[in-house]
Amino acid sequence: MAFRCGKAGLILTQLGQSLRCSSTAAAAAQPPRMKTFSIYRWNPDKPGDKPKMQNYEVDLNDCGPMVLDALIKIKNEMDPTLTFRRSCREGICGSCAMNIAGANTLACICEIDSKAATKIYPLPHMYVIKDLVPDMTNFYEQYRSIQPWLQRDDLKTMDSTKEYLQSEGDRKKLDGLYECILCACCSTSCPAYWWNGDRYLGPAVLMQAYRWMIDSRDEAFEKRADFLKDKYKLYKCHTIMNCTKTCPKGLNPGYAIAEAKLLVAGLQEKSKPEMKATA
Amino acid sequence: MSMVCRTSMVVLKTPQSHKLALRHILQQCSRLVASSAPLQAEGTYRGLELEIRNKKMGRPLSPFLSSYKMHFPMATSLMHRVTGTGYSSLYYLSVIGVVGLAPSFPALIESIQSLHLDPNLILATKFVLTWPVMYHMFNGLRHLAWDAGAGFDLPMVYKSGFFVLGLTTIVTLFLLSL
Repeated sequence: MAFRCGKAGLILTQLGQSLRCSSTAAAAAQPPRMKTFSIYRWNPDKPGDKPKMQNYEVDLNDCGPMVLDALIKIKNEMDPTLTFRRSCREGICGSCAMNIAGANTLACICEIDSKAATKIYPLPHMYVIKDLVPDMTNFYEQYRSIQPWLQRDDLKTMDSTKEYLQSEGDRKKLDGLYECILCACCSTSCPAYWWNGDRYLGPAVLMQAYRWMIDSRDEAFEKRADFLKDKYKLYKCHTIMNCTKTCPKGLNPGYAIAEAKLLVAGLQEKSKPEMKATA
Repeated sequence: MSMVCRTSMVVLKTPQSHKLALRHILQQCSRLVASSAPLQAEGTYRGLELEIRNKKMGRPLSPFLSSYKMHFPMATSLMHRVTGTGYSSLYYLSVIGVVGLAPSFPALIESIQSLHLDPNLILATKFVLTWPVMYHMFNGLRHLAWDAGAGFDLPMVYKSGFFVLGLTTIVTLFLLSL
């Protein structure tokens, strides 16, 4: 049965079946398309529990198209103890970041492939709270350490009914940077971050550090650059490019880090704002 | 200074983590020395402290090397490391070997020639010894381009990787034909 080629195959098969018998009967009589999800399990409430892989068989005829659909189906119908984070189910909240079939991605926008089995792990090299839920505290603390907010001398004296101005060109420079949803897929795919996660900030946080460094309205460039000037925080990046390869939003943290390296090293200068932020 | 004492106290409660503790104290000291950057003082994160807290709670570390699937850009990076470290250790070992064991370099060459090895075997050995150096050099140039901010689009990352592999092989074969 040519079920494996996605929608086209499905339509063709259904067409073939509807020729033989009535289409509604065919849909009900479809042979089950079983797929195995092999999922990392660890229960903190069982003393001495060792992490293990648990298999779940899911009939794909009776399941949504994404890996998150399968996870929710398993939790609803087979094993309510299976634990994972999810929220928006449309790739904008970043909650369901996990390692699926060997690469980090968001379960909600990762289509279930045609292979017989898929392995699902938590984000790599993270401390596990339970099952697929990693401890993100370090990641968030690192994000906080780069002070990801607008810094200017006139913040307190600025008329609160006015906005800071930015030219279209300067705004464009933030494209590809501001879209990051901080799901940590890139950071936890990075070997440099695996070995030095306590001192190296990792791609996601560094991309935001770069985003704030180049913002035409921000005045704290020197301070931001100084913060990154050591052996680890920024320069532990070895351009392995796992970050860019894995980003579920199609962003390029590798490029942002390279540009940040040039800025922090003083090989490039922050360009002057095309427009005064205050009119 | 109080920061150092506080964090190292936390650390020293677990006997297994002396190494981590030492690293953390050194890290804090270096932070004190370089405390001129205001953002560093305001926004310090506690990476190692969190690591120790997690260890104490008995949380397992999720799989990383075993679960992450190797892909082409990652492989080119790994090969760069392996050829770099491998060749530099081979270099030092061979210098020690030649200086320490053989009476002189020409004598060593003579003794190899006197073995009358299969010329194909010699050619193959030369290839195995030359290819990694050429790879490290050309991929090093690729890294220099990246360091200059060029070639970061994912398709380009693949293309430049294949280009380096091809160029390495061609140049190696050329060198062997000399």
